[in-house]
Amino acid sequence: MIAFKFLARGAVGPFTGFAWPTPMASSPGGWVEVPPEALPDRGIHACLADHLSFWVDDELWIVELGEVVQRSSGQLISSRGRLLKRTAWAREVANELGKACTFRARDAAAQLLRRNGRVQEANQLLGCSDLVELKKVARAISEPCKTDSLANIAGYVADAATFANLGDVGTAAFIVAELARVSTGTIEASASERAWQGRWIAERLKLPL
Amino acid sequence: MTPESARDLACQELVELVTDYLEQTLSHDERTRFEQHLAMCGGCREYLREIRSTINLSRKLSQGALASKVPDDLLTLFRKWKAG
Amino acid sequence: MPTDPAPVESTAPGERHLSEALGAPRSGRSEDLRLVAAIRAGDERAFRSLVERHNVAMVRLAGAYVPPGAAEEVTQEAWIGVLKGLHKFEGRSSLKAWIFRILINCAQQRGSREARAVPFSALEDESQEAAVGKERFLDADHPRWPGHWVSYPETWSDERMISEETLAMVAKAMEGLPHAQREVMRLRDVEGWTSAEVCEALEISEANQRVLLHRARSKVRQTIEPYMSGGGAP
Repeated sequence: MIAFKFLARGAVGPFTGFAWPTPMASSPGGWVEVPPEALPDRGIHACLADHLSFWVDDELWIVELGEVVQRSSGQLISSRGRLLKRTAWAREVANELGKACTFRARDAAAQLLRRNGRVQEANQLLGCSDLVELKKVARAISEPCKTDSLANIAGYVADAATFANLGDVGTAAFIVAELARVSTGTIEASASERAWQGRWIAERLKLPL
Repeated sequence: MTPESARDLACQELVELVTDYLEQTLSHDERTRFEQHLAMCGGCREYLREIRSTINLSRKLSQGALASKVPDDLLTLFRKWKAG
Repeated sequence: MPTDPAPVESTAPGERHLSEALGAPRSGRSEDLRLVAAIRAGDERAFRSLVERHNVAMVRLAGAYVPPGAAEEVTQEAWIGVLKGLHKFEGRSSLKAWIFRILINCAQQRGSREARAVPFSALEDESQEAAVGKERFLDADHPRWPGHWVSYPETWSDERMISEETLAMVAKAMEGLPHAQREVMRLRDVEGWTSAEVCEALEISEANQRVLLHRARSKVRQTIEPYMSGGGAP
């Protein structure tokens, strides 16, 4: 099946340092296999679009997997896989995602504030058009966060904006998903947010789904 | 899919698991949690790099050591022992 | 992505898959027994090859227990012990572990009272020893990120990674470790022994060995950190 895989610069596995064989001309990269006994500990890992934001790294590749033996924790595991094509994922795209998902968090926070009668603060957030401004404004609203749970929500927004502004979209995306979980009290909201992030990437890069 | 936030590692926990991770003695689930945390925490990625650097530096301490020539007195010793 | 297949050069010594590390392959043991038989038969070349393989590391290890001048003497005593005890070697442990156990015994007898008194099997410091000081992490009462870094550790300078001064600092940091931690880290990370070999030689459990290694590495990292991230020498 077709799936996706983030790798470190140079098509290298970020955790093992394994150098993946890359496609040449019109042929895919060579198959990489592990013996069935090695699964699931040592296996070929990839993910579906819904879970892309969990694994953000330098390069995003479209991969082909053999039979999937395990699906859990945001990943697919197989005994074989090969790289098909590198996508246009790059720093600029990552930064766009960082901004996009942080502004979603902003909107969610503003909605909550408004619903609780704190219209001025909601508008302050919505009035921000860039990450630096959002960070400052959200931080100011968040100050009494230990006792005020809505202020704390603004704190998440400020944190997300901070990391998105630094170009650390992996962390920003996580914070945004955490905000969803905390503000709704449900794990499903976090998963939904992650799925939104993954689909954003898929659409932006026109990934095969 | 089980969302990661249900079982997130905090950085303070991760630094205690680093040796188990490098020794490959974490369970499959623990290892996944560990790596998911790494994927979204630059601080812990740096920490892991530093532990690896510490190990690599230690390894260098054994290099450039004394030559492995067999000391003469050891050979004398052996011949004495051999002679009974 | 996590957990790709690992036909890859490990970045840390001894970082092999545990199932490979546990128990020497059969060929290793029969090789040991063959060598022992040859030495017992008086084959000087066999003895030389054994000495060449281990002597340097033995002197280095002995130096951890006794003053540097005495390390060669202690090592020589160990070789006497090896020759005298060869007829007792059955191949139940690896020859290497067996030799080093003799060395460690000799060194401990000659060495400081402290080194002798503390059995390896006991965890040295029962108190809670955190890998990283708790002031580096946000408190449990932080409203969003309890247990997360207050600020990320600073990147280590490439220049310092390759300097001689750094190596001296690492050596000094290791010397400052409690005895058992120092020994495990020395054998694993300096000498490159597998965890199984260390457990054999020191007669400790895997779990025990891992805790000692963990504490040792954490402490050494902590000690050299300020220097490695560009500060002056401590």
